[in-house]
Amino acid sequence: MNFPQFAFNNVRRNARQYFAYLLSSSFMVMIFFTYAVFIYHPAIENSPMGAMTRTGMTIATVIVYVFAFLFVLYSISVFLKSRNREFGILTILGAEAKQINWLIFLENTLIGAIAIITGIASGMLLSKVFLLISTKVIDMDELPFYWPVKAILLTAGAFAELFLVISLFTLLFIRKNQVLELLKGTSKPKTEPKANLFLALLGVILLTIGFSVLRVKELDPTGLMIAAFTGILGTYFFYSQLSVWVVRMLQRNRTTTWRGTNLLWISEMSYKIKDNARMLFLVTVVVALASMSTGFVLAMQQSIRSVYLDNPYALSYTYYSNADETKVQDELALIEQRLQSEGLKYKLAEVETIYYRLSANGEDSLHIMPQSQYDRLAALMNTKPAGTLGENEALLTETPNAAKKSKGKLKEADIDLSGQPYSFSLENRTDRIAALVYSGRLMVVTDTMFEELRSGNKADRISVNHTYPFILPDSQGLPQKDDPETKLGQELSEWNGSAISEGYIESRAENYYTNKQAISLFSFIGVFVALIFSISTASFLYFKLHTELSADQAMYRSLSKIGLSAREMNISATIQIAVLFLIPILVASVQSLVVLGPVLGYLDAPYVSGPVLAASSAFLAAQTIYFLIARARYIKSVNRMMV
Amino acid sequence: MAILEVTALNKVYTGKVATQALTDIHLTIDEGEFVGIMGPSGSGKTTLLNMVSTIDRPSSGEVKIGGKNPYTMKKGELAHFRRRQLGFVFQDFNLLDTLTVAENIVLPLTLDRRPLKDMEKQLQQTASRLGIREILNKRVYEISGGQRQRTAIARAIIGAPLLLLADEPTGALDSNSSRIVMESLAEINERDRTTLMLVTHDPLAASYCNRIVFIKDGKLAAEIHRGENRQAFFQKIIDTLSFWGGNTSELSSIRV
Repeated sequence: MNFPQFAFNNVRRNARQYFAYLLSSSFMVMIFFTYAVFIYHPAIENSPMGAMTRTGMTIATVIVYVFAFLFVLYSISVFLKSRNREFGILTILGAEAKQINWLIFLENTLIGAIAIITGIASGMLLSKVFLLISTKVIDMDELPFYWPVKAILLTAGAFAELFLVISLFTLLFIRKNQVLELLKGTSKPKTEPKANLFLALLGVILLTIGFSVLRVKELDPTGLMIAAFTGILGTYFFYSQLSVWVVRMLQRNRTTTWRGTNLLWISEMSYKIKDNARMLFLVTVVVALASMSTGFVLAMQQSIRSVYLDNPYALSYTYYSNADETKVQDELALIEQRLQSEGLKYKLAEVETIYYRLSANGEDSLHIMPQSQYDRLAALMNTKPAGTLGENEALLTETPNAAKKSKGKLKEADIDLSGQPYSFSLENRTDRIAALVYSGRLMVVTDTMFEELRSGNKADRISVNHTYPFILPDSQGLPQKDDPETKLGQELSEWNGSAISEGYIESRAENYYTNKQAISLFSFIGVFVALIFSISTASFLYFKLHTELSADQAMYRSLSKIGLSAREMNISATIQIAVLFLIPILVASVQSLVVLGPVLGYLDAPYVSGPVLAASSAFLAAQTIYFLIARARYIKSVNRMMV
Repeated sequence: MAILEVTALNKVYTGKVATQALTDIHLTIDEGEFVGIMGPSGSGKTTLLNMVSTIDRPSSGEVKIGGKNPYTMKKGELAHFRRRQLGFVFQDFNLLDTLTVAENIVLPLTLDRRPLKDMEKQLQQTASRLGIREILNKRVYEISGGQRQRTAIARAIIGAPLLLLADEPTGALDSNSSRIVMESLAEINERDRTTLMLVTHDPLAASYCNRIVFIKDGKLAAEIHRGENRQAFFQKIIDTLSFWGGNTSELSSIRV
């Protein structure tokens, strides 16, 4: 038996012991590979995608890889620690340090190779399932399965490197230990993370930088990168510092510590503090990413839905004042005829508005409308009329969406159309009437004032719009694909340009479907990332429990001999497992809120807290299920060892 | 008053080959007694101890501790019974690495949710009796084997148990630590009248007992009592061992 054979047999005959390590490595390969399959998917790679989304996906790739690295490093350190005795015996038998290093190196290479192969094989299966699920979830055409050569090469290369680096790392683990310590095994705890003011401050500074980068006016990909980096590093310090601090506080107070099972779990946690802090950190970042991507998808969907629901006008026909009146009448007649032939009842109004920019770049704008027309629309929709307005008074009405964005209410406005500014004091109101104009903001003035403004605006005729909104009897909820409104909207939008060319047709149902298609890729990415990350947190924690199980079993067994009841073991174990599973969800929810606010603001989607809370509760539910399963299995195996 | 009554105890380990580990054991230990169980390897000492410790169920026969049969109790009840009525000292200490020495000692009391003041008082008393006050705040891996065993004894007696069970408590210790541990046990027995049952290989350790029961091949083989002189008792133990266990020449080197 030569040395490589010895190494090979060592792995083969000790399969049980190596299994957890192999499984966790293989699992990480699988996660990474599934992700790689997805980002190199031809349909994704060739899709038009903003710089922001690309950056987001790159960040996610790096995170998956870094986490794979940390996780494999963690599993191998636990694994090697459990084999200290074996190395001690080998040393006593006269093995040189060089030979033991070589043994570990060979083993790692072997396990790495197996992990890469099995990981890619199972990843192939998983990616197929995930592609299927995520396309189902967001109701788009299924992405075709392809032969992911690029992804295979990337995964194999990246992980071959990872195992090589980790083999070198592990040599450092072993070298510093004395034979006696190796033989005695594992009673010494890992060194505590240092609780020091400098690191705590560094953590706070990093988190502040990340926070403020997100809050600067123009968010760009570099900013997002910086925020991700500082945020993740800050989270690490947050956990390592905070956990030391909390455990110290708990241990100082004997009244709580020396009570029931508290003594057990508090001391256990302080003993495993370094591993726990790292695990909490990993899980938090991964869950935060997953919940951010889910929150993002939900926010985009809600935004599109609300644009539809806030719009009371099924169709509208708009032309500018330079259009040909007779053609306009023909086109209007055509639309009315189509509506009648579909058997749709409608109410029609005629509205005139003036577009006005409040800021030079047009980001902040409104439309001006005479009071009589507003009151007519209000009557059609059974809502409150404008009331009496003075000459320098106006009603500013906004759609709920626009109102959310404008936040600080506009109280005054200076309208300057012909070099002579008019000042108005504004009364604010939120209603759906304003959905008529694309700024979502209507300033209602008296009819005489409107005439005055319009005649002063002769030079720029294009900013005067005539709109004919068609109001259908209220339909319930979102449009279905084969509703007459949807079909007609799509048909008329297609006509726009050929049969109808003087004016511009807008259909809310058609808009809704176009937008939905546009974000379906986003949604797909979001759901996919969330699925992958959710699964990987569960596996992190499960493998942590698995690797620690045999040591914990021995401990609880000896405790049960001196009278620890099964119920007390259950309490102590449950608390420790629950902390690991559930605290990250809370922190991750806060992080998602902080990060998604500005990102969604950048994309003009005003809904943040609702979708993030929905996403977080979904993850809380998923994590709770993982927790219950992991706990049940853990307690069952410990219970077997109780006497 | 009998603290421990073992009647007609049998233990058969079923499996591919059934092994009769214990056959018809009768043993009574009275309050305040210090009883040693000796016998060669494989004689069934540890099996007997496990059954008295309530962690291994007898095949037939009865074990009564303080008049109660622990094997009729429910699991949770049994755990409480162990915690309150029995004290354990093991060969490999069974201390928790995660706890300090002090925390290891008070663990049974904290599980019972005793008041903090009570625990502190008991801890100080017990620790000073065993001479481990200075190391109370150390971790288990920082102290010596003898100190570990004394910590384990402190943990076993802090709840004032009805019966203290010791399984080869000196098995992993050097002679000096062994002496200190055995003297501690003897002192606990004399001063508190704590009833003790000790399983051991070591004749020197056994010589601290009042009475020694010998087991061979799962059956009671002999019983000897200690007189005034520990030296003579030690000699008697050696003689009995060689009569029941092996040949005298094997032990001649340790003749005093």
